[in-house]
Amino acid sequence: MSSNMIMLKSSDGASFEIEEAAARKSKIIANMIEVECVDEDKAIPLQNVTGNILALVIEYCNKHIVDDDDDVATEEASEEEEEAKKKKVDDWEAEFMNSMSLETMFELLLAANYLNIKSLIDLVCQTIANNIKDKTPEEVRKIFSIENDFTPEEEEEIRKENAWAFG
Amino acid sequence: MGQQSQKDEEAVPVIPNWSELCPDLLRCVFKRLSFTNLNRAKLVCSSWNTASRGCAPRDNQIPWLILFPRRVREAGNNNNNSRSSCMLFVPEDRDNVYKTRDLGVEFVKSWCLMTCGSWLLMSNPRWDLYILNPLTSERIDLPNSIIILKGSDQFCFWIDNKTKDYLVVWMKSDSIIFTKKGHNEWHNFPFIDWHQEVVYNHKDQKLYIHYHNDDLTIWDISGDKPCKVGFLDCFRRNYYDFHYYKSLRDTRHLAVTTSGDVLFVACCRLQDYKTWDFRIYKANHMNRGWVRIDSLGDEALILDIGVTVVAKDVQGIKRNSIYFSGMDYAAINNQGNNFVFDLTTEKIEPLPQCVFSSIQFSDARWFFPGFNS
Repeated sequence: MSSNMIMLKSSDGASFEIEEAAARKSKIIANMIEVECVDEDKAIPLQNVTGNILALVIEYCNKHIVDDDDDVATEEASEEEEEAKKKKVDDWEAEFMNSMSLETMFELLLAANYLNIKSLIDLVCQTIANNIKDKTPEEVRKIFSIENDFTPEEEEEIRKENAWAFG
Repeated sequence: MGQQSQKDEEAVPVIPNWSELCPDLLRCVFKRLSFTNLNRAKLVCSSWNTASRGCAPRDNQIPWLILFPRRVREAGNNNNNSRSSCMLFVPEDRDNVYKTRDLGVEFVKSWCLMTCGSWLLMSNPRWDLYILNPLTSERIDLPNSIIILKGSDQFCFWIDNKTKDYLVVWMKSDSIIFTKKGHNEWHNFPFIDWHQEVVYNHKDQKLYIHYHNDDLTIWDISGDKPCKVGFLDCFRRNYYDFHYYKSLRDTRHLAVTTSGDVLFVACCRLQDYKTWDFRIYKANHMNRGWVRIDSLGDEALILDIGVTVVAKDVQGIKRNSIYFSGMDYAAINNQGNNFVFDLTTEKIEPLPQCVFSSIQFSDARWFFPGFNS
């Protein structure tokens, strides 16, 4: 496992040092490393990610690179150990998302998408889905500050189509 | 992690606009919602509505249970307007039961003969048959028939959710009639022998009929007159497969797998009224004849509709299982008649009591909205 460090630079000019293995969680950065367009002395500029969001992305990547190492090291681990480890990751992810506002989640999702980190996209999307689940459209609009842009006729039409789902 | 504060430009704050999130990411969220939650999300705003329509698993992938209201004569004078709605139990949302819209007075007097996709084949007390989508209230009336429906009559019902092309085959003890989209009358089937089971194979668009003499014939019904186009080997069951002396009642069914194979399903209810047993046979094209199969693999058999569906890694449906509704008019309101039979354990998985204990219903069927779209 390489312990090379690389530098990332956010859109607002903050620089972060990160292990290459963690940075490779991002397909975009992994590709850049593959084609050797990463200059060891220069930071990779990430135009679409602000410093506070990049810090969260790096926190996520660091956490998960450690887990991946563990997977390789303990291939023979018992089922119980595997489960305990999975629970640890699940708990960490729950805690990580729990403290996050919807505004931050929105930016984190865009950043994960831009950096192409699939597992992080999945995690954020699942959290957003949990916020939509079992709520009325009115409640969802309120939580996400979404304006109802349907005409009364359009709204009635969709409601009619799915009347059973609103009962 | 080393952070150096070298801010050389001002960050532009992002004001989250959830309705303008790119459709790919919206779909990534939506595909995690259950069918019912996704349908609610469509009403949030127009961009969510648009994105949800391109969402991959927009089609429901699991059978629901539809609970029919008690009929008017059973419900007495209780003037509760909820009695003309059905309740829907969606296994992936275990804690929720959904209610359909008010389906009207006639619906409460009618009873369900078969289900297919989002549709129900219904009969009113005058034996007028009609097809109804209880989710949208859309209704298709079938041609009048001078024949009176009997409890022993069987039906074969197929409808395409998109084109609404339908086929209804009505099997009486001594004749078979059928009608389909665009036809204003019932057509007769040539009489060959007493028929027993019929299934429509939507893969090859042919009707498979099993006769009392064990002949299994294949019919093309694309025209007004049915044409016999082939046959399968006689199905002769190995009588040692079942312990008949203990059996209370046995029924046989035909079903079609996802790959278009025809299955023979024998279902047996033992004398304790609680134990059911199933045997499944598949046509063996190599050696001719039928062979018993012990497993459906990653598929589940929805016996009410006569099809298998893919059930691997889908939440709310159990692989290698049979979804069965008693189809027994005499046993109405008998909860033991709707169940999932797990072929791996050979045990019945009861439905959650929370669904049944609080709801009064006259009949319940497996119902598979969006199955054939």
